[in-house]
Amino acid sequence: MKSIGILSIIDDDDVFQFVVRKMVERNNLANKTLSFGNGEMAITFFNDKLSENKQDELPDVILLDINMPLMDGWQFLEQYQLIKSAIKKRIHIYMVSSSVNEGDIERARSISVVLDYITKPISKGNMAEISARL
Amino acid sequence: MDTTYTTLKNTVANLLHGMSMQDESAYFDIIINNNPDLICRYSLDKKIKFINKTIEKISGYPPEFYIGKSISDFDYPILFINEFNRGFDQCVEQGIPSQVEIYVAGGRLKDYFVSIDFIPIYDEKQDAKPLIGVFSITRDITSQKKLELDQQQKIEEQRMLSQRIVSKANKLQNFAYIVSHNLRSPVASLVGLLNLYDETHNSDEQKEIIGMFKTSVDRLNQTVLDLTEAIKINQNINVKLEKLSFDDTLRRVEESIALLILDTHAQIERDFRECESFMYHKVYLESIFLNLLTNSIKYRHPDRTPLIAFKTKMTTTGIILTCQDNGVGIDLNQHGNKIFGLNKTFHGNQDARGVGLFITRSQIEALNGRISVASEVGQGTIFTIEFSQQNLL
Repeated sequence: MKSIGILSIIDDDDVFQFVVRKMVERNNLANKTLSFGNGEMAITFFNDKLSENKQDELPDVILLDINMPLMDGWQFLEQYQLIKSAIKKRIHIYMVSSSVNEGDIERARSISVVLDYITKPISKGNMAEISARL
Repeated sequence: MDTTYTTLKNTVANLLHGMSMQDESAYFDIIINNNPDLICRYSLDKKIKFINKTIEKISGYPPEFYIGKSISDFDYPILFINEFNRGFDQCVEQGIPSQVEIYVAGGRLKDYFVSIDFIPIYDEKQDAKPLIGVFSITRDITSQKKLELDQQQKIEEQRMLSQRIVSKANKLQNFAYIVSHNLRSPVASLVGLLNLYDETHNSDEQKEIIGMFKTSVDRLNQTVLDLTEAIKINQNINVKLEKLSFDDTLRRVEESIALLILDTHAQIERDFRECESFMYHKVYLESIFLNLLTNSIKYRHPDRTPLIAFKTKMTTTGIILTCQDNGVGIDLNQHGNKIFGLNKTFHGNQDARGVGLFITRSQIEALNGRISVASEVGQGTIFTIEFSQQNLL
């Protein structure tokens, strides 16, 4: 499998973080994994890297949860759109949620920067697809 | 009224077909006296100068009995006389027609509604055309009014019904969302962990996975307990209501968390003068106070002594209870629709499970009340609970 490069998990669920990290570790899916407990932490990281001019440290793939405290997945995407033009790297964003709510799925698919919507639990097959689309 | 109308119609029909109508005024007399409406002429001092024969059908007394008397000479209800005078005086003062509708409850004629039109009479023969009297048309509008009230009541009933349906549908949707997220989330975690477990033979890693497994199972268990509690509340439609004092209930709650209040130096104010007590479910009210109070203390401002003020207000729609604090506040633009949801945390605070307000809302809505929130970040929060009118003493 092709390496993802830098993978970023934005999710308040520590069990999900653990599962993805283990999967990545075992299968050598990424060179580096970044964990953020909510959207705000992730946006702060993005802004910092942009102002430090360290774009190479930005993630190649983002797994984005919907329901999170402080700043949820939707709000993160709004903030991301504002800084998107400054980012030179192509970043693949996947929304990953346990919600099977049609409204959530439709909404995620209607956002242009979101590549796809993945329903939890995330599988090895999902990860393989993510890496294949890079 | 129908028979009178039929009589009138037949009479007129006979007249038109049978006899030749030479005397216009006789023809006019027939119409006046067979009219189902009471037609009356008064002098300016309200003395009856003429009344049509319809009165005899209503009261049993002939027109002659009434001539020269005024309304206040008869044993009419005071409300009737007052309204009559108001319409009459208005007509005389303004010199234009006026109308009053009078509802009379009880009495010999039971409940009835009448409308009275007052029309000014001018003396056309004099140049100055002075006002010389008033004539009135009194119509029984009881059946029409009852129909109207009946319809109004039906519309109100349907409005209430559709409100209840909308509220039920919202609750159901909310529940579906909670089930889809809050139950699926720990289950998805468990499935993910199981897959990991199956793929490893390293016992240290297996131990680590089992530890995470335990965390997920605990969360799932807690979610199921919270949901069960909420379902129980929503099913208790016929909860027993009793007369409760806001002050006594708040005091009991304060005692139960005395240590927390002491530790945080929280100042709790109360103003229950407008409404001191009402009918409610004892456990729910205690739970509402407890959740509002602990919520305000939990989100107190680090630089201020926590100040929490409870106040009751009486409005036309029911009783309002407000809880205002000087805490850190909530950004409602970000969290407005989620604050009363299950397992929502807003301050990145690990122990903030957010279940308290979800239960509070369920308890309030189960008794047809409503809760809303207003807040300013850094300033404080105010929760407003509108209790249903049914809870009035």
